[in-house]
Amino acid sequence: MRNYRFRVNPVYKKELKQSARTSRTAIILLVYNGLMLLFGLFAFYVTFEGDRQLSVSYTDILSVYSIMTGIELGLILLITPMLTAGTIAGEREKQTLDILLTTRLTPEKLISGKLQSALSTILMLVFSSLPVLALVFSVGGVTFRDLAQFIVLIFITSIYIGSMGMFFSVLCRRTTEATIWSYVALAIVLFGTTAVVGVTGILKCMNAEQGDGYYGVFSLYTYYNIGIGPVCLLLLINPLLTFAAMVKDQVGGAAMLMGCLEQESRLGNYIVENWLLFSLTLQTIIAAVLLGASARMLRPTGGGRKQRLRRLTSGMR
Amino acid sequence: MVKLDQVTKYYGSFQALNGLNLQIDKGELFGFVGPNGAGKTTSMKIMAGLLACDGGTLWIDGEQVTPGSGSWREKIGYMPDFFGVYDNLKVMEYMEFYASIYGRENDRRYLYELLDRVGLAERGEVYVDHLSRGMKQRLCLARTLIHDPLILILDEPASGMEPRARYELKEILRQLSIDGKTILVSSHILPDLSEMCTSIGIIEKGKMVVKGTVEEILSTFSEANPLLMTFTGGQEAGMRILKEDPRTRNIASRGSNVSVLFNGGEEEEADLLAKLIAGGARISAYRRAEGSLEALFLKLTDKGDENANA
Repeated sequence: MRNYRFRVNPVYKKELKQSARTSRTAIILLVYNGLMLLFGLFAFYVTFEGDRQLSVSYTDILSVYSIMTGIELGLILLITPMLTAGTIAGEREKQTLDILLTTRLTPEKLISGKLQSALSTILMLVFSSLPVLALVFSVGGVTFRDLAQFIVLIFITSIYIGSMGMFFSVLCRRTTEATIWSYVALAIVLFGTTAVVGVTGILKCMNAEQGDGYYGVFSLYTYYNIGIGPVCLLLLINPLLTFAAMVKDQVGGAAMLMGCLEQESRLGNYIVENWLLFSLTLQTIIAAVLLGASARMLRPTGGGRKQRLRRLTSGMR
Repeated sequence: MVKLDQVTKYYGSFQALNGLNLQIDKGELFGFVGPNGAGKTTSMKIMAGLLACDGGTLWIDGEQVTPGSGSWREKIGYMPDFFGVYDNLKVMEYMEFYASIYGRENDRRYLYELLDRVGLAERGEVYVDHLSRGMKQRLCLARTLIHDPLILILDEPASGMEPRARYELKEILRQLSIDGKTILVSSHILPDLSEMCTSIGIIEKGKMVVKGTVEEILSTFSEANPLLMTFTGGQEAGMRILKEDPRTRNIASRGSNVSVLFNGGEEEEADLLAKLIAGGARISAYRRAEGSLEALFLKLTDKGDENANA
């Protein structure tokens, strides 16, 4: 009988050992949980003490959950590029990449080991902040299922944003360069997509009003009635909209935003109602493509960035 | 064991390798010599599978290397010129990491044997950060041996090492060669190479200028070395004969010692000696000056520069 022994990725194991010996992980953990606690307590203060009300509305309690999970997602979005952008570029800077690439280690294993290590840190951050999130449970309104769903969302978002960091880490020679490009990509995904949808809406609206003889005039009335159309699908790659869809499903938050999306996109109920599923699926596909491209570029037959890109686009070697 | 046939490589418009031919047989300790930018590192990276060549073919242990095929990679242990180590790992942990890539991380005895081979067995629990440069280089060499490769490609392994460390490295390489490893080593320290290598190759502007054993190469180019002779009498007559001989040039004398560049082989040298004696010269010493790899290297690479400038 064959012996199927589970083998931990050697790169992952080494990364864990190394990160355990540096103060960086501990500092990230401290700052992350410190901020979570600070924002959590602030949200509680605003909800329960701020107005000096005798009664607390149920909606307010649920908004505390939305705020805290939103902050957690925001922090993860900020931290993930930092954790992944330096992975391969760092090996290149330390001049250890060439050695690794001449061993039996495949680029796929190298990439997955590095990503696993980054995800471990992110999951550690998420799990370490559970006691802070548990504050919400003290007043009720949120189930464990909701929390599990949030952790899955964070996990997939981390892979998605992490894959961008990995991609630029392979493409760029220096960690600083890779980090800058990763944050630029993140900004495009978060704000660029929103801007494209917004500008498309405004242009459509202005064109429509030109047809009616109102040259260059923009009105919310027209904006609401015309709709932006399928360009709204671009927002499927925006993790903030994914989060909004989750919050709407769980506690009814961001309902107005999702309602607007349904109205403006003219996409129909099916897509908007299952926005969370579609969004997470698309983001997972994008992550897989980026990780595959990173592994392809890392194949040990090329030199500079141009060659790495050429290898990716031409499908050679 | 390793064969490069008409290998070319371009970096943009710069031609790093210009139809490089090289063959290294099994068990050879081959010294790769060349000035900076001659193409040593590029050709070594191609052999290690880190770069693809733009033209020509490469064979490793009889297998033609094609992009994507990977079985030949297992036969090679590569040590780059500038190598990094993970400073916050201990020596044994560093070895275990690379061993784990080959599924041998639990074989600590084997890893200690490798460390022992490079003289680091006592330092298994020391952080890599605390090792000297020479020790780090030996650790890197031990790392290349983990998967027991047939061929070792070592790019400037002795650079920056003090003489004692260089001597130790030389001994380790010699022993590895005796153990049957085929070794390709590049270095700028030519006396070291001429002492330990079974054969050498001088590369210049991406082409192999000369290749063979140190003795073969030096004897081939020995005609470029001056004839040295010491007169005990009849020096004037001897000088006249030398000046009249069409094969001589650059005659220089210091007292009774005379140096002359002579264009001819051993037979011609004997003829000249006989002619000198017949002409009345008394000679107590007569020999061809010994060539060195360093002098030859300078001569060949200077010639290359002249050609390039022409």
